[in-house]
Amino acid sequence: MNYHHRIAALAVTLPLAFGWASAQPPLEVEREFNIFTSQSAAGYFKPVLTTLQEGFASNIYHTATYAPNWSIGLDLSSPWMVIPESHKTFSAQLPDCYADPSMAQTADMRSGTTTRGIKGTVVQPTYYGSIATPAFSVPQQGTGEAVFCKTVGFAEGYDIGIMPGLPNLQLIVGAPTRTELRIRVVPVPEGERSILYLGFGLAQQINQWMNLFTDDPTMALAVSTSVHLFDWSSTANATGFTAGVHYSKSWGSGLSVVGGTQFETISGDFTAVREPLDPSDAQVSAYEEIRRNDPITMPFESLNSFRVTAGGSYRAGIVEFHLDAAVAAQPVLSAGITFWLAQWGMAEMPLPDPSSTIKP
Amino acid sequence: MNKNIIRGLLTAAIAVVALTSSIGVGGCSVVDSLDTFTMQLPINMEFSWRNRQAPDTTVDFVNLMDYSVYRDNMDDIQSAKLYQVGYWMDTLVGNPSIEDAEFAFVEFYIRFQGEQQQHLLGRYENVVVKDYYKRPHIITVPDSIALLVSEAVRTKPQFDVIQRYSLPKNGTGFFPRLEARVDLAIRLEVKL
Repeated sequence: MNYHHRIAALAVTLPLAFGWASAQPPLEVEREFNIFTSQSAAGYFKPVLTTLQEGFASNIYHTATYAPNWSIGLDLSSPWMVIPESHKTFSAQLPDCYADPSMAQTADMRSGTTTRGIKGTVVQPTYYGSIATPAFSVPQQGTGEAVFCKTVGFAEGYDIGIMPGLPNLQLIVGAPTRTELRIRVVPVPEGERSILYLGFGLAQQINQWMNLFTDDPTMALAVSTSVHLFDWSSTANATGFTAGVHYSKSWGSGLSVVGGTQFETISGDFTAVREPLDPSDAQVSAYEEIRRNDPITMPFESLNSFRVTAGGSYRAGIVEFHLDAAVAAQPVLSAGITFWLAQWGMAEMPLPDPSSTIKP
Repeated sequence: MNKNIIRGLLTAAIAVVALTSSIGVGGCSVVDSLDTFTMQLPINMEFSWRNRQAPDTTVDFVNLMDYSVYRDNMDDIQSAKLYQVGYWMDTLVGNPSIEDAEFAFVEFYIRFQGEQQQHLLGRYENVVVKDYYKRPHIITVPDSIALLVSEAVRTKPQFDVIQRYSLPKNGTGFFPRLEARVDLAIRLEVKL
């Protein structure tokens, strides 16, 4: 796999997730990518991982009314995440030697203003941000560690305001217990490696057990949970969970609205080894981690842990359209279509109250 | 019932087209933007004078092929915009001394291999040497120059960076030894 594939794997397919063949060695990052330390990689990519996680945690449900029969459907949904300004920058760690004025005199320039003595961390763009700001450094000694205290550059962002998640193609199976199972399997071939995402969502209508809405079958309350598994060929793996509760109201016209809350999390890790440095290379990093050729390791985490969703759906025959929006760390807009391929064992469903239908 | 199914299928077909289009149009614009990666490449240059009389000029040769990030991606470089320049002095021996020396200006030009024309990268004015002694001074390169350099760097990785010193405001301006450094921060956009 050449450099481009590796960069692409990091910068482009990270949003698409992870791989499969565990016998593969970890991803090797060529030396050109040595602009990243583990800390800066984590900060740069974390909003992308958040997009990925939020996409997977979307479209777990679009109603709380689950018919007491068997059903099979196929759903295609597309979640889009709105990237807030706070996800466009992160605090990038500067080389340790920058903190010692006897080793390095440092400065950067932003909007025409020079700041001297920069150390610790500085604001740099994430994957969604824009232009980075180089950190200039003058070594104060001609020998020892100080000679490495040179100027460093950073990765720049793509200036993205809205980002699609992986489309959710999912098989839906409904059961007479008013239970719905959603299954997602997304293999993504990627050179020598393959990426696999597995998702399982389970929703259960519960209001009938609580004697809620007994006189109004157009309303329903349900709980949902889901698990998401990602693997990318000995390079990254992650496991995500969601749990939530949602309510819906439907009308005889096929229209329904839904609202819900959901806790969600993801955890995992990413490891890539660096290609050995070229002794003839004029580019010697001020970061000790890079000079030592340490692997890039970062946690697979999301900046989001909770969402509030509101949406609606409209069913006409075997087709159901759904659209929802969610307040989350990255607000989510999602739309999709479900094809109800088969339903059997249909129980007699109570008709909606005519007085509750919308009239012009 | 049959009428409902047919209506549903027709509506579904329209919706699939609409959904696919929206994903296709919106998604492609995002995905297209992801087919390059931009990183900043710092290039360190050293200038050395020996027994020179200001005003004078010194030249430093830069070969981007010495940098693996450039060398290994030469065919895929989309742009190489010069973004910022950092300048400082490491050594100054002469008349005036470090404490007293001040130049009206120090200018930097770039000249690509095989060309005579010099392009102004930046100009530092009222250069009080003691302020520049081992302390970086940064200027942001104007877009017009950055674009010009970008176009040339893609095809001509060898170039001279020329440094011009004015006559110092005091002293004889004779320097047995003067060493200065420049860091160029280049925004390198590489096709993935």
